[in-house]
Amino acid sequence: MSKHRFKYLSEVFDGNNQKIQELLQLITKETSASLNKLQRFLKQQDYQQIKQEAHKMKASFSYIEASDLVDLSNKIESYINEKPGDKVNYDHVKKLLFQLEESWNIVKSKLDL
Amino acid sequence: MRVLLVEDDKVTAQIVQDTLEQEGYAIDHYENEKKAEVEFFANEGAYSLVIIDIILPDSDGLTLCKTIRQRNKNVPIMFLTSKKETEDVVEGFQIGADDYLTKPFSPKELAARAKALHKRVDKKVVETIDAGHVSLDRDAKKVYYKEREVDLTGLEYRLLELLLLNKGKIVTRTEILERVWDRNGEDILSNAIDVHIRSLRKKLHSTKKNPLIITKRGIGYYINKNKEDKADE
Repeated sequence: MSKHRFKYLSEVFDGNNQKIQELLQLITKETSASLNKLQRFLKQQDYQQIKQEAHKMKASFSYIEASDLVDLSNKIESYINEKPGDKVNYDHVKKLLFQLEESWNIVKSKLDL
Repeated sequence: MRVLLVEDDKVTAQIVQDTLEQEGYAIDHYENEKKAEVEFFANEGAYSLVIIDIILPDSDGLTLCKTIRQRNKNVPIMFLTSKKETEDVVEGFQIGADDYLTKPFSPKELAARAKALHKRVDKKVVETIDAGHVSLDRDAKKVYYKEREVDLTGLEYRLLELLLLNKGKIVTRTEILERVWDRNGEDILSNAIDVHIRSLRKKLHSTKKNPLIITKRGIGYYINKNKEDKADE
């Protein structure tokens, strides 16, 4: 995460801490929901939905300048993009989703909500 | 100034909303393509900008952009997306978008681009709004009934334009006073609006049996949306 915490959100909300906090709470809520969806899609082996959800999450990660999470989302998206449907490796996707969840937990613990 | 925002990511939507509301825009936010399409065509002419995400849950923003462009050449459309590849940007412009901004965007840049798009359209208002046999040309500031020009006063023109821009939605008497008379009602005779509405109805052949302008008693007036098909006689 950036040295200057939430530089982007500070610009958006003109340094209003309450609004920044509210948005961080929204990001946390939406990310948790997305992670649950990803696990459900994995069980269904619905890789297109996984790709779409990973793409959607990227924006939130970029707003909090969590570049590791942006990279991981990109990895998931491009891996699924590059493989024809039946060539996607379930275990590889599972591993990537696990990494995403682990990294998110680390970032979340630093959000001071 | 009203903006239609089509974005399935609630976080991005919140940021766009906050940014543009500070600039005086009112935002109508929809998370999927179908609902946004219905809303846009139900209120055609009311939006000064449409902002669309490319990847949406039920379809994609490209389809929505194409659909809007087939029927409306004037409204500015901006894509707001995480898709950064050159070919995505080119495709966006090819299907009719006026601008393309990638996430994470600078809020200042979004506000500046929205303003520029709005200005550009404001300068070349070549929009025609239709309702039944009535057609209002915003560029020439002329009104036609069955393709014959109708002679309206300045106030009548502004009143009709306001009602048509909000086709199907009630425009309150207060809104009419503020936007047509440009003040809050002081020094205006209490029946001034009714007098002008009566005159408009007469000139545009709006009758009880075949209404174009409908009264919502005690609240205001609205344009009958069912007159859009021009097959009412």
